[in-house]
Amino acid sequence: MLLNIFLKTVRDYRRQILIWGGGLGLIMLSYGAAYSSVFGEGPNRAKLIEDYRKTIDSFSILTGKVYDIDTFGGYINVKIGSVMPVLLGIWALLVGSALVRSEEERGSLDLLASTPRTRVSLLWQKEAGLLVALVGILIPIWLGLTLAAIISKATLSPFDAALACLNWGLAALVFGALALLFSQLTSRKIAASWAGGLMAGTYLLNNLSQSVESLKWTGYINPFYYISLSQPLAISVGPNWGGMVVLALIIVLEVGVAVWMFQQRDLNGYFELFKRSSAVVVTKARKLPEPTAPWLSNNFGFGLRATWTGIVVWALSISAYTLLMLASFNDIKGSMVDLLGNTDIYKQLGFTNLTSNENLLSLFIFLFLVLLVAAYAVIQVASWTSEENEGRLELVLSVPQPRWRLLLTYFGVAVVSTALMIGLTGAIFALSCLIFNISVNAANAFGAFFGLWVVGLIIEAIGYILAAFGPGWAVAVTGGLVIVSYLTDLLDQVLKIPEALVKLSVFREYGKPLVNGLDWLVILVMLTLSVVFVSGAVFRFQQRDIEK
Amino acid sequence: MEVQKTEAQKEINKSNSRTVATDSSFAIQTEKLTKTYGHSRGITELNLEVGEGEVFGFLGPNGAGKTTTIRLLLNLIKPNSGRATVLGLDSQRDSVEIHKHIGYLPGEFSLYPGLTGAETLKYFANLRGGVDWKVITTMAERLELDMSKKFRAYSRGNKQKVGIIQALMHQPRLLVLDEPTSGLDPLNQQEVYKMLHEARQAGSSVFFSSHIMSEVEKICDRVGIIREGKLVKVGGISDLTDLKSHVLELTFAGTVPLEEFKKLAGVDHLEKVSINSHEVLRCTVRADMLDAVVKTAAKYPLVNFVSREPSLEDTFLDYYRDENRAN
Repeated sequence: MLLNIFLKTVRDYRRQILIWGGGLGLIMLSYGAAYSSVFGEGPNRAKLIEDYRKTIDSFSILTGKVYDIDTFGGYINVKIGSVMPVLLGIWALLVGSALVRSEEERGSLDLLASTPRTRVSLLWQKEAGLLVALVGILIPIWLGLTLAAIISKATLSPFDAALACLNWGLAALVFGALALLFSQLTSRKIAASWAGGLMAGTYLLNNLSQSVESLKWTGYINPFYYISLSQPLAISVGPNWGGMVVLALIIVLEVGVAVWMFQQRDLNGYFELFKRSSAVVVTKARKLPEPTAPWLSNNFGFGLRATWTGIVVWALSISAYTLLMLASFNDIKGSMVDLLGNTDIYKQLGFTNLTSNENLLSLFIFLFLVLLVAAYAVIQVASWTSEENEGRLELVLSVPQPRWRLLLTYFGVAVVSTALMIGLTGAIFALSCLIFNISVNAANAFGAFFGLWVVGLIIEAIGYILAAFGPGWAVAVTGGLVIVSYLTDLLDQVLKIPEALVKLSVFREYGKPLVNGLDWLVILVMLTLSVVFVSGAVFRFQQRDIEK
Repeated sequence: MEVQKTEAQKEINKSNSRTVATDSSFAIQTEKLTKTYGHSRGITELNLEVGEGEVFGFLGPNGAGKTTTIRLLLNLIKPNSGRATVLGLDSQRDSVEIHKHIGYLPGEFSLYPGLTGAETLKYFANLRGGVDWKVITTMAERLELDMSKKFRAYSRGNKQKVGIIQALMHQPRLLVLDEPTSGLDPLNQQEVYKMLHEARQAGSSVFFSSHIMSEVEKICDRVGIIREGKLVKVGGISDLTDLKSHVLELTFAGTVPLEEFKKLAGVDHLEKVSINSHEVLRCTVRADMLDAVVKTAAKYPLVNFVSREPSLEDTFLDYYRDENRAN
């Protein structure tokens, strides 16, 4: 496996193939195997399916449009198939952004590039390695799907299952290649976050555009539109070869541009369209003015300055979606009320009066906003752990400051940065409501944004206490907890999760403050828990070794 | 502009007048200091004393425990047992107080890629309560560091220079440096030696690890050798005579029994060859056993006697390799 770059790349992904492929394959198998018992064969089958279809249709913003729900393929699509492009896309964009950039950041690419092969060959071998790894992940998924169909005695041909996997794979590659392209322009982390943001945005936009006529045009420039054209698991739709060809062309274009940029740019540098050529100038130290920027004066200012770009980018990205919603809100409100009124699921979720602006906005904005704030909080945790993981903490801790103060300062930065991001988003939301003449209960709106900050705060506190035990795995575990917590809140009815467990979900505790106002007792509990977690983090951080 | 330096500066001034044990004659003292990572790495019951104003070289092969010792002194890692005092203060309990008075350069470090050298040094200066900018610019000029460049654009040597300046700029009482001249060109290495010499003249103590024997010989008062987590030798450079050995080449007119020399203690690398009908015996002999070897050789018809003193580097390498000797 160490014969060449291609095989070495495949070898590097062997654990990921096992974890992602095995995990998703098992999920596919477990969902599929349960198919026959869900609707049963009794006299109520037709009604059950109809109720289920209505429920799922109302979730179309999350799942996209779902077809043939009464078939095995349609059922699989509902359960997991519709989000497979996103799940595999997350893997692909993380891998794509790191494909060459992680070697550059580690310093090993220089050595690799010094071996007798062209840069094009180097990148193609790595890209081919990624492709093989993706196939390695898709094979267990296909196996899980096919086996589940056999167990459920469902009519799904292995070929159709393979076509579904092909479509998901193409979807993942679109975002993997995009991240690879972005990584020619910027650092690995930023490339991954740009690609991730675009993936999340285009996914939601595509799902929304299927219900909102005025947004239909966006489909032509949205990869998820072409992904959703193919529904190999749904017999009534089937594969769409045109859509797949467009996806393949997008991938070829992205990889082509990435290869071209990789050839042009400096290793350990970023691609510049117009290269600046200037003589080497050495600035004498005594001629250099003393840096006087206030943010250099202490850890807090320094940390806050480092998060400033993130604050603005996140707030503006979220606000772009919010603006899109609010701009067309009064036009689409009527059709939304009709569409959503046909199902009871929203009542079960607590959206009791779908004719009110608060209910609709809570459903279409805050249901996602809280998840995005959680993601932002996880990134803040990652920012803290990276200080240690990337070897900077060693020097920072050699200056005269106690560990507890350093930890609390960084935590303070995370908390203030989250507050600023939410504050900016809230201000744009309020302004947009005024401009587009949408009436919303101001106190509840304030409570909703304040609650978002508390959600961010408690996630950061959990992340910090986990980081105090293991900076290497804290971010992954915090992220996992957020996803489990969100799904627990969202799918508790469908999955029949015990109430006691659901109450542990931070998203359940956040509730629907835009509709019901903020539950200050819950907020107080979350604030108290945050203090407890951070105290625990401080205690543990004081005791343990700093990793090299 | 003196950006918010007052608070930290006050802290340092306050501490100068109260906490540091100025009567302590040791800059560093460890008692049975032990830190293990599983079975293979770490240090075991390390007893070490470094005097105030002393330049102490800490030597050992890779993985011997040099960095572990240094990180324990800085309280970056916690010992399994034993204790360490730095400037008379407990390395764990009083670590913040200690950090006020030390300058630290890790063996491997990373800083903020998007910051220029000047911004990086200003930031660390502020964290230390402020440093006269002239001191920083003077050091940068001496080391030929262009502080206007971003940290990510620096070569390895230039990154090391930033690390060295941040360790020295506040004129600490104790410098703890992990391979300080690593990555520097010979001219800059010489400049660092001068800067360390000046720091010592100003009263600072220096504790540093190194692999470069010439720099150890040049700037150290005393040397400690660590091997597999144990301190195997401590002494002044001039006192390390038992470490030193002689390379002998003895040419005899007749036959010489090799066994007679093998029996002698302190004789290593013994070999016999024939050159132009003479028997030539080569060996290395520990300095304190030279007399016995010469007396034994004198029993036979000696034609030629060549003795060469190996470099300190050879001696240390020999010491590292020879497990029995170390133990």
